[in-house]
Amino acid sequence: MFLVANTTKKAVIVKELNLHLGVKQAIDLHKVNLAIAPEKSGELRGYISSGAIKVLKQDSKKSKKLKESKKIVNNTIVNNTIDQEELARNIAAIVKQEVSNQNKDNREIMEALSGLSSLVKNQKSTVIVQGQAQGEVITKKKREKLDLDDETLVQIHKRSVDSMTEKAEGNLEYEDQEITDDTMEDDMSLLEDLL
Amino acid sequence: MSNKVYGTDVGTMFFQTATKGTEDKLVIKTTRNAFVEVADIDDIEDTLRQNGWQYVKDGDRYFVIGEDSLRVAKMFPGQVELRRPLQDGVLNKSEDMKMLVLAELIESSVGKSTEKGDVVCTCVSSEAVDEATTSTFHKARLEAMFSRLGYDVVVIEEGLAVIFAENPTITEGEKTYNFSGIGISFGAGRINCVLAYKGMPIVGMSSMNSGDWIDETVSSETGKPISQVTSMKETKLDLGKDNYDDEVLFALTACYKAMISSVIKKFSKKFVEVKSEFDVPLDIVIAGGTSMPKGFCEVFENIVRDLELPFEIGNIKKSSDPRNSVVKGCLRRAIIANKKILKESNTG
Repeated sequence: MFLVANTTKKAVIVKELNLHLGVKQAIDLHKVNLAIAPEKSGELRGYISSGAIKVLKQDSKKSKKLKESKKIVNNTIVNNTIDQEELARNIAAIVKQEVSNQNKDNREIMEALSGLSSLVKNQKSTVIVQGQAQGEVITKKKREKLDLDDETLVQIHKRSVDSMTEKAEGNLEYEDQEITDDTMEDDMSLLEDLL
Repeated sequence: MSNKVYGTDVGTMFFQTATKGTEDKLVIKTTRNAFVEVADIDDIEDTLRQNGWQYVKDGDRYFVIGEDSLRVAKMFPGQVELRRPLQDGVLNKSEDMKMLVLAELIESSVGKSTEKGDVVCTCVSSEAVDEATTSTFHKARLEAMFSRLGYDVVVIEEGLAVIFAENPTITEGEKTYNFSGIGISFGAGRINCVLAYKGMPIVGMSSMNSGDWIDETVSSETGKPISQVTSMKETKLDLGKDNYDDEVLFALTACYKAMISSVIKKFSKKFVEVKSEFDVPLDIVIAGGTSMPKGFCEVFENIVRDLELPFEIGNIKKSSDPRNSVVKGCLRRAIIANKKILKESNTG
């Protein structure tokens, strides 16, 4: 988790990350698609040190270790060396690890929530919903951690599509339609500058 | 450019790919995103080949794909069912064969990646405002279908693809900012809207009430089959006319007006929710197959300018090529991703 909030009265744009932070908006940078890893962004560090962006919560070393152990599990999936039952067992193991860390995580979440509540009032697009019962918050966090690992999801789907299409063959052909795009060259150079 | 670089739009109605041709030409491939399963009779494969139908074989099951599936469905009414891999802009959860069909469509159109720097940019719907589901699963599955072929994959919001293709602008004082404004894609399954500023998405949302919703509503109100409603929509509908004399055309006109009004109101609500603020008029660009009927842009403008909105509207423009706009935008994004990858690999 890398939960940050815009403390200023105007939107903050972190160009390196392709990130737009609205007024008083809080966001977990590990749960959105960014141009580069937020930890590597000098621009973000600049905003943090100037106080324009406040870090509400960042993964502790212990959480990082937990993530690393998850990565090992993910690599196992990539290597195609396990079957679906093994995958289910791995997921169950992650959940078990998560549960054993509940108390600590819970404290961290509550700290983050209290920081968040002082900053964010009537903010509807915030990641964490304020005022949930303790247990519910923990369940939400667990579910988010399991659901939002995009790379794992993609790897699982790759395997399932590979297996589905193993015996498939077809004769699909397409008719090409050639069209003129006379604004392409000019637009591309403008767009390239922006992105 | 030696790399394979594609924009793709895996839509509810059509599957499209675009790649750069020579000079200012683009090569676009379009196929209907539908299929039928045909019975496993003797010599079925020979029959399919003799008819020149496009098909996919999976073990002993045969699926006719694309436009040919419509022909087969019309030839055997009641015996074969026209099926779709996507519904309402996302993977059809009640269709078991969706992944197989889509994977074959995708592989046959873009092939396998052959070298580093091969890129596909595809698009997904923005967050839906009128239902509780997300497109996270859909996005991961689409990404997997291209990355399994070896491509670097970029996924963007569909409305942003319209912005990239049409380049609306915002003028602040003497400065003009490109790729800034509201892009709306009226698809079959969903309407996608994105407000972007200098090519960066600021507000995005999608709504379910689009082309299929219009067909179903008019069919239900008039008692006419959906195929007949769709056909009239595509061939006879002129939104600039009153259409009082034909109940289907009249109902279609009413539904179109309701759809436009509804989506702009939903977008305004989303705009207010994220506390976005723009003091300058925002241009709107319109694209997508559902925006094809004559008079669409004029009706859109009349409705939108009558509404009280939290932002000012500048020019309203319909894409000169509404059916291909999204895939063109995806291609532009893919070309930029390709250049970036090559630059990074050259600089070590």
